[in-house]
Amino acid sequence: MKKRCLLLLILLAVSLLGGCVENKYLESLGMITAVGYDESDNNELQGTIVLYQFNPAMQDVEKVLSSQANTTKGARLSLNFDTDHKLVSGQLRIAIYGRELAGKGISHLVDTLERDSSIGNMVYLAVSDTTAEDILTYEMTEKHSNKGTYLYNLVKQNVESELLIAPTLQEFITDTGSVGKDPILPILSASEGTLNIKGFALFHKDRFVKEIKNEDLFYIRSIIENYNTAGSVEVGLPLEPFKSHISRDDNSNREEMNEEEKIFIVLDSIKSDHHIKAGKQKKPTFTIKLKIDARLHEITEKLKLSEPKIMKLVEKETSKYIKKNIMKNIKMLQEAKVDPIGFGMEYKTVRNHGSLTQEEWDNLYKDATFDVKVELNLIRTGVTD
Amino acid sequence: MKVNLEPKKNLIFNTFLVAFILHTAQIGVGIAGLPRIVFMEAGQDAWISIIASGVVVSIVLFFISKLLACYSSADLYGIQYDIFGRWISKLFNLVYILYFLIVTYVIMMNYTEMVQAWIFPKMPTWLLVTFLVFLASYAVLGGIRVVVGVTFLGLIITFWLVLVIYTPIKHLDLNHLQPVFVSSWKEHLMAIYKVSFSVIGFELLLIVYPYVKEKKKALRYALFGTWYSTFLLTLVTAVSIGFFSQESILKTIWPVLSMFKIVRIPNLERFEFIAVSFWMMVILPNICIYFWAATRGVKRVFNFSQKKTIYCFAIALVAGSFLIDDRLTMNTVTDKVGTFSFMLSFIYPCFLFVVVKIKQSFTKMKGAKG
Repeated sequence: MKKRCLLLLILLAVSLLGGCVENKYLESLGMITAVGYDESDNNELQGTIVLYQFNPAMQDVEKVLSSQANTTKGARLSLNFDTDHKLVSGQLRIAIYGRELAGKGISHLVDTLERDSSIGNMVYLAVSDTTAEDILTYEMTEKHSNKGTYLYNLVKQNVESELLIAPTLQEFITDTGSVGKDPILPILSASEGTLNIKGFALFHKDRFVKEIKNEDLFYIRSIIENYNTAGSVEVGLPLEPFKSHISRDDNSNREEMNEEEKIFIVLDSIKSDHHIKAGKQKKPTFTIKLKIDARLHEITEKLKLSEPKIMKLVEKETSKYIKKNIMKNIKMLQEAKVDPIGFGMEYKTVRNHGSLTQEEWDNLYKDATFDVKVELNLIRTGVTD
Repeated sequence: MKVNLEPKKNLIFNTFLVAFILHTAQIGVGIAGLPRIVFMEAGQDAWISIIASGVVVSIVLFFISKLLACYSSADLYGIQYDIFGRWISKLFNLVYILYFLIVTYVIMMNYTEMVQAWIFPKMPTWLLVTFLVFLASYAVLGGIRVVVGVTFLGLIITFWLVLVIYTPIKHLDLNHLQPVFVSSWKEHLMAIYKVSFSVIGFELLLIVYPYVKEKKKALRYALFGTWYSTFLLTLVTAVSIGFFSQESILKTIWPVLSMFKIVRIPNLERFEFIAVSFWMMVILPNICIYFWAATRGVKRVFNFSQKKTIYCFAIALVAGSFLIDDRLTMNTVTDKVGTFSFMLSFIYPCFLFVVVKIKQSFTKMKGAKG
């Protein structure tokens, strides 16, 4: 009996002592869902945060705060004076960096996110078209409960439809930390009463270097990550090779066709498989093989797709078009001296290239040659031929 | 002190449990930080060093089992008594007792640090250490069978943690692991040395041996246990190298936990909180078995009541938790203990085996002459 009493006492003590650790009540917390960083005058950092605060009496649960300091955590400290809620960053969804700041390098800002154990590694990173403050303080015509979650869902939805490369903190850190690979982040812009993804920011290590358009990303992404039946793309093929196969209702139109005319095809449900192989020689050479299985979703001309010959022709021309665009994009990347595809990393995996450093790769990269092979397979043409 | 022990029938446990004891004694806090430590030495070939360390452990285990086979049912304390006589053996045994106690201490402190860094930054060190000591003492008071039970349950309960590695594997970049076989011999040797502190635990076979049912099969199960540990260590190291970039693996203190940061379950955003909390189930058997080994030693060597020893050591451990409160000291202490562990777990048992063999051939010669 005495023993039992003792045990009960100890158990009681253990469960009560558990209360000694920090308590956090939901009502008194301001949960940060988005942070934005900009450069302000006199070299300080301008931090903007969006937070959720739970208060049954309030209609508006979103609140945007902004302050200046030398470090991100310093900014948060001074923000703490502006709110009656305790700021916590466990629910952080997205971090946005102003365009100018991103151009100067953001590795030290990303490091603080990684260092904080309360922030998950699947937080998204993005670059603002202007300043992060503009994005986070923008008044959208459609009211969303919270801008942080809105932006998070905006990016997430597009990642899931394979239109972007997941711009997670994890990917960014891995890419900047690896020799011969650079990250890509989406560029957010505020226009026409809404926030959207305007394009993509190519980084060299942690520095924003060049902006590309949404359409170009397909070709770059296709050799970074495989598509898994969610991707889609619009291609414009020259009409010339198809001329003899086009069946038009009224033949009169045929005379009006000229060389410039194009036939547009939309492919979706793309499933792709890419292979990049680096040559063994000192000079970097790469063979890129891309295999695409896709469904034809839309076509602007009437073609008899049930005929194998025409089908083959479409496949051939589309492959050619994709290949041309991939080459064009790689050239562009080479000229901008950025390597989001990770050719350097591929080069490094070849024996004897193991000691490659980033500087060496930067020098080698501009002379690299590429051999691209694209193999397209149209597996379906929708419910009609 | 008797050299050979004849434990009561009800204290003897099944031979296959040796695998559980050695495995749980090996896998503890070390595994969370191991990938980085090995990577520092052997680069992307770190996983090969770990397999090599598994081979080294097997060799040492082989010697240990040969050493134990020289006696019918002795433990390390008894063997040292037999070899070195009454007084010197006391000193040597005391070294081992202190070593086991210090390992218990280091494991607890490292785990506490992990909890402080990940979940409760404001929690005082002594609080968690007290909880752990309380649990461990409770188990050890129950005797060897309870301790073995804890190791068995500990493994069963935490087994699913292995499956969580599936998510990081999805984000793996095999390019980080290539080209293979680029590290030199020297780097591999250094790496094996650094791994040694994370794979200790197998030397406890020297202590639990008398309680094993079929002594002949002990080595086989011991090897099962250690190779499963080696497999796990290799797996997490290889995955961490593939998952992190070179730069980040070098600065991530607990790569295994950081990898869990990306695991997301629909109704649970941050999986690593569960992982860190659950890690207690991984280290509890670890602490229990070392704590038991230390207190058992006192009973064997000084014939002091084991119960009282447990209370004394428990107080000592809690008191010790006030000594270290920053990461740097913790690191230095862990490194120092690591060096000791290499000597006491790897080198000394092999040395002892040679001494025992020499002694036995001497007595044989004497016997033949007489």
